[in-house]
Amino acid sequence: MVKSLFDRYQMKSGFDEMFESANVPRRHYRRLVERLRNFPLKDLELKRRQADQAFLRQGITFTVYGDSQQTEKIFPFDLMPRIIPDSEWRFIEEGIRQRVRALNMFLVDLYGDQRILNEKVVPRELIESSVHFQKDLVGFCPPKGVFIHVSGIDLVRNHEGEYFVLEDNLRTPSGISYVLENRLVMKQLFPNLFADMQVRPVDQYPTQLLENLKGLAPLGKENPTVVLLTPGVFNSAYFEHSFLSLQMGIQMVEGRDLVVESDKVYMKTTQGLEQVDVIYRRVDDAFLDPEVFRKDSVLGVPGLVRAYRAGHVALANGIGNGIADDKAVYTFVPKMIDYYLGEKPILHNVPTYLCGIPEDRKYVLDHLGSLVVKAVAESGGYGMLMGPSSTKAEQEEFRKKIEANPRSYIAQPVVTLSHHPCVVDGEENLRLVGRHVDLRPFVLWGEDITLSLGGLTRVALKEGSLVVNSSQGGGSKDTWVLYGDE
Amino acid sequence: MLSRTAESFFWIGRYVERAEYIARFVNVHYHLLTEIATREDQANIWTRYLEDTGELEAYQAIYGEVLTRPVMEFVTLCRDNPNSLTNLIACARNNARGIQDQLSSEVWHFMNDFYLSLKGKTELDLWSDTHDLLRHVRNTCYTLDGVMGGTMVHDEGWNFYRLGKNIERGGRTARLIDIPVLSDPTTEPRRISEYHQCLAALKSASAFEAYRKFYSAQLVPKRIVQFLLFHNKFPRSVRFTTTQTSKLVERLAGNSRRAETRQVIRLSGALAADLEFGSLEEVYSTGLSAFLAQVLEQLDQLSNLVAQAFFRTSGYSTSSQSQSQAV
Repeated sequence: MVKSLFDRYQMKSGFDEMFESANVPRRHYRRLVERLRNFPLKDLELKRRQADQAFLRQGITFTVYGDSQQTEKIFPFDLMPRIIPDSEWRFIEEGIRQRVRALNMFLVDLYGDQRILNEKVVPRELIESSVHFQKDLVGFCPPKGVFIHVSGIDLVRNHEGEYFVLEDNLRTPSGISYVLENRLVMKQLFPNLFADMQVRPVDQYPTQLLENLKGLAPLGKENPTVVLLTPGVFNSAYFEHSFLSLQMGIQMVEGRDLVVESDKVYMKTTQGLEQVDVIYRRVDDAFLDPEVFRKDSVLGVPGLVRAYRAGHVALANGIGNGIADDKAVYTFVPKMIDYYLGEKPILHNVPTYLCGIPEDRKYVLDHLGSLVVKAVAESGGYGMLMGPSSTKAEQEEFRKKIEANPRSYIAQPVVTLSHHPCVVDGEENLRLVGRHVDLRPFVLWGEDITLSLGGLTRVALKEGSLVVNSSQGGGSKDTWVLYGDE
Repeated sequence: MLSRTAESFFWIGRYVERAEYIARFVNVHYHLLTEIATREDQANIWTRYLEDTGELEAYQAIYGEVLTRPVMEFVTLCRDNPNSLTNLIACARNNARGIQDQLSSEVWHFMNDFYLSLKGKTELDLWSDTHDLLRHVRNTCYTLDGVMGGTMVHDEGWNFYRLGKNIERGGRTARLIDIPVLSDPTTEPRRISEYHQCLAALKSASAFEAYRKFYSAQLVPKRIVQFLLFHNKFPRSVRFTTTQTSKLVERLAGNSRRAETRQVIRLSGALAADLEFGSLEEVYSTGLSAFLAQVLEQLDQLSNLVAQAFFRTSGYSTSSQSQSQAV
């Protein structure tokens, strides 16, 4: 006799998102657990296969870098949804709005008067030594003073369930397509489950994004031409680029489709040139314009920055945001919130050591075995050392790297991330096991600051792993924000 | 429409049409050859095919001697042959992937499914059920055309797709006719292998049944050439495709007065007229092979002119990094 999925679930130490104690679900999970308790495991297995098929067929895949075959993989999808009650979500929303507002003020300041540097709240040296600080753009303020049109803020929870900000993504954050597709697939697989679960919808995101983008058009443009600029099919987030273009009904372009003439941007069409007013760019600063940034970039558009500075084209996100989501600058965000807003941070940072500061560096080098070391300039889970699971050789390698280039590294204590039950293969049947999760809400800045309802919950599907990035074997699950608290 | 998008539509049409012809050709010949022909006849047919498509050297570099089985592996699954069925479908799918935002989701899913269904195929699959694999490719190509036509707006993109398809189709049919047994209008097929070659030419263009309705079952080289070259209602005759091509070019050019566009209109119009008013006497006085070579050359030129006129906005060729597609 096959038992219910939940019967054999074993809680681990740390914060469990779903269960308070063995077999006692948290209040906001009670209905879900009730509904799934009697769900036949065989059917669940079928559902899981259908989900995988749906992702593969639709080509919802990402490209694995460093793989000569350019393998396309699906981002593994876990069937068990993550639930966030209304009151908790309001708290997250408030915290993120505060944070993004402060970060944007920081960018306006840095590329303007630099008060925060002059008053030594943030060390000038830290900013000026960063490759992400675009010195040439000092003195340029983008339309309406907005740099951060789209961002993704990564949150984790510690052993007590308290939310922390792990990372800000202010350049070209990706993942929203998975949020939307995960929901679509869940609704197809479990239509009945949604009926009485009081789940708030997620699908207004593309409409909101398009509205915001249109609002950026140079003054007087009635029906602005908005395009999405993608690096192309080999980019790991290419699926998302085409997905969002399709959802918004805008043209997706590559750098080679655009040309700049008299500081105006045009796309090359079969009927000649057509002017472009707003570019939602998913190409990094470094590749955006070979006239200004990397000369060898073939992904960008020569002259784009000229057109941007002349005010003939709007870019989302602005140029130079990388300085504000630099992992070292991250340490100063609580100070920014105090400095610009005179408020206390609602969401806290994970404690962080800057290897550029001598005392911090000494501490880090003495404790390599228990810390997480991250390269400041890397993202996506590349270039990091997970202290507790690392070998001596790996630690020595990082010691050398840190000593050679201290500014480039930070370290954080290992946070015991919360875990969430996930459906995995068992010996005979599927079984439920706890896996670490994080949460990336997506933030849009237009007339107001709006958040995707919920965001992307990423799962470290490898047992014990704390790295949730898709490139490192992570998966994702549907994330439900409820209308109420249960 | 973006020039790059137009170019991708055009090449989806060409790649899929090419795959369809190859699948049909190989299936027909494999079927006939295994039953009847001698080893030499087999080798001759494959050698001529590889010469025609310009692939003989590439083949010999990998497999050496021309034999039925390795040739079939080369044209269907070989990774190193850019024109193998799997590579053609992968190319079509990659083009589709690059313009996903311009396709209906039905087309994209179908295309992606098609690609996935071939991706893992090995020689084992080919030899365990050869007909099944080839039929699968051929039928899926047919169906894709239906999915495109039935779910997409019939605008520029659709017309570029059809333009690519028709240019490819005309060229492929022309190559089918260019065989010795058809080149002499006075003969009738005597040897059994000659008879089979006539049959294979028709079947490779999916034209045997249509031909039979028109001329009864008797296989007469002159009539076969007449049918595949000049028939005005059969969709794979060279004439039919050049007429379509000319119409499509005019539609795509609209009122444009650009010199490049006018040139495409002129050439496609001339080619359509040549086939519309051409006659068998003319063909045979020029020589069948020479006549077909001219047609093929003009189709090549047309393809180049289309690229110049529509895929690269003139004056910006330096910044255009238009991907070069395998022809």
